[in-house]
Amino acid sequence: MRFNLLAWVSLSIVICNLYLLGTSRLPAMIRAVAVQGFLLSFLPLLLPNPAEPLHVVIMVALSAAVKGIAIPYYLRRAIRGVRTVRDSDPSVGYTLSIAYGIFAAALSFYVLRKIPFHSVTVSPFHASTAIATAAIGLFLIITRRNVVSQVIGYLVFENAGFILAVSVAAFQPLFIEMGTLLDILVGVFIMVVAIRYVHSAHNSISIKPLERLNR
Amino acid sequence: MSLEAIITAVFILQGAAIVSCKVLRDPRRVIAVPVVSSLITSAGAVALLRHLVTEGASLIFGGTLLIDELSLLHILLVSFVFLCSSVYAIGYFRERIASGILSRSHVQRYGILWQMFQLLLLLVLLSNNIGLMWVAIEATTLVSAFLILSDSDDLSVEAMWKYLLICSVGIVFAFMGTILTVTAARKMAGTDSVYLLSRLVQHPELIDPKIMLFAFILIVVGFGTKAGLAPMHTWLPDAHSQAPTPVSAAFSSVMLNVALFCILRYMPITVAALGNAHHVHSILMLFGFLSLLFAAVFIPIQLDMKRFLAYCSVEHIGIIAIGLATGGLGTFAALLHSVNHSMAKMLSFFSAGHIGDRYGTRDMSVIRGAVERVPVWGSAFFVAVLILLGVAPGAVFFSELLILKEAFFTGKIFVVVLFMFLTLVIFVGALRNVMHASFGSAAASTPRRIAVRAVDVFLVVALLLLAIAPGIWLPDTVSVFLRKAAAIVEQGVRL
Repeated sequence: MRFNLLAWVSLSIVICNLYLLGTSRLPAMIRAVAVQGFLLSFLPLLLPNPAEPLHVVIMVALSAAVKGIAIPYYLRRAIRGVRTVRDSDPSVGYTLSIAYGIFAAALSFYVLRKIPFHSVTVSPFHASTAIATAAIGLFLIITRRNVVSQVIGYLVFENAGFILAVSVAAFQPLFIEMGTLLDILVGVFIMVVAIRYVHSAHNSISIKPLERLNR
Repeated sequence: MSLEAIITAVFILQGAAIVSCKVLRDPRRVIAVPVVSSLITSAGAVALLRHLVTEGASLIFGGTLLIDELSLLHILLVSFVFLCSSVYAIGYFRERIASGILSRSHVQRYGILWQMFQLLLLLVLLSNNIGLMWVAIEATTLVSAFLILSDSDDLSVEAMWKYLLICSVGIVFAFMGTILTVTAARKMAGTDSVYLLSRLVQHPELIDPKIMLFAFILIVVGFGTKAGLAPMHTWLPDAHSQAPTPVSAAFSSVMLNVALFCILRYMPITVAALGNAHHVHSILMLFGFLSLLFAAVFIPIQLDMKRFLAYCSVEHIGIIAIGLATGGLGTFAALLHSVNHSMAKMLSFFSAGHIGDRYGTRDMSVIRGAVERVPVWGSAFFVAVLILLGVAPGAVFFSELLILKEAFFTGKIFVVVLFMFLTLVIFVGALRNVMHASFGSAAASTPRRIAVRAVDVFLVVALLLLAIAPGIWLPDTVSVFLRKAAAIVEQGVRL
């Protein structure tokens, strides 16, 4: 039963990834990353050998609050402030992006067998979800031409780290886990403030004006 | 005084200094606070040194923190660089406050973030827990991002965004590396102890070598992004060139070293787990030469003084990585090189900042005759760049020579040849622009007159001495201390 639930949650995370690749609407992207964050917060409960119950409950509650509620709230405020709802003109089109996502998800199963930690993961499906999510997060950061989409890409990539941590059942001391979550929360908060700076400097959240130093 | 008491006192006093930046209303007073807090840190570092000399490496707060020669070397460096940069910042910001470029809130933000940045760097260096080390280094990125913005123009916003995003992504790679390190060491009893560097290095037989190697690659990519190793260095030239000069100096002279320090902490664990240093050295050699290669391509075309210095940082981080990859005497030389580079780089950034202010531009194709027209800072810039380019008797020349010597005598002839070729390309490419800016016809550009403060002259003389002296004479005590730190890089800390 537990394994089945784990598989369903992993599948839902992959579907969120594909949805993120296929949409240009920023509110929809924020909703998808919120759902993904909320889902993966519950992964520690589904492990075959969960850690101390109190530890797990605290971490699930904190992760769900940070990834499922607080971060999406900040991001929604950011897009309200900059009055932009679409990420237009990505470097790679949406159809091709979804094709990449499917390819990355399929390839992750193959890659998993080649990497040394496959033998210690909770389930192969779970670990390959982490690899696919990392590949899709990086893809979003590289191909999207809007700073909010890049932050969402960063969050997806960070979620991959979280899934990996859970998939190898590497429980950290509670204060480190809380520090990690706090860092991510503060990181997104600072990125939201940075988005406002970018908007006030260029009257846009496109990354095009942010390429002057490359010349 | 116990180690716990020293560290608690430093952190409490630093906290008070941070609060005072918010409370004080006069921006000229706010800007003096970081000098006081840097003096407190320096005093704390000296107290730690005295303790280390008598007691040796020790665990603090139940093993969460660790002090040894390697961490203390970096703590001393952080304290000194922040002290010098804070002193320099007084003149730098006072001019901007007087001319209305910076408001009180800008200066308060700078004061608060600057001290938090220093405090977090110290926490990284003291961490024995790899999870805490990761949390602290991620926090340094968050805190320091807005330091780049102190001048608040469009280009600094661009630089800040790239720094924030690229380093944050890099740090997630480091997070994955941290998690896999713990996974590799899962046979060790106790959940908490697998996070302790001092424990990991004691039981290499319990670490899975294949997973550890994979973790080390992620660690090098992750912390290497923050350290400015190519090809993950792309944030560095933008951030270093757009940040206010004291911040550029601190980024280049210590932040890169601290990020590299995190890699150094994982080196002995990986080497012990694998049973040999071959893979670890190969990975570092690859990133080291990639950094040198990128520097050789981009340095000759850099006209912005600070951007040029930023690429010099990429070059020197590459040289340090090559030194570490050479092993033996190379490890000692790499640590010495990181100190030498910091001294010369601090001086060159301070000089570039002053020259830029005088001429109203940092473009080396426009600046002419800086040595004649701005004698103190113009001469300091020229000499500092010569030192950075490895001209004798600069300390950088000495440490580079030691790396080459070790590579030559261990049969790595290809390393010697490639190293010499790339540094020669950098030397020729850099010198062309720097010579024009330093000695070109002074009539072509006229600098603004700004009085040179006595403290500036003192800074120039002191940093010049520190950037040259180790190339001529390295005291035995310093040499022994560095050898102990190098032994920790190679074999891990022995408590």
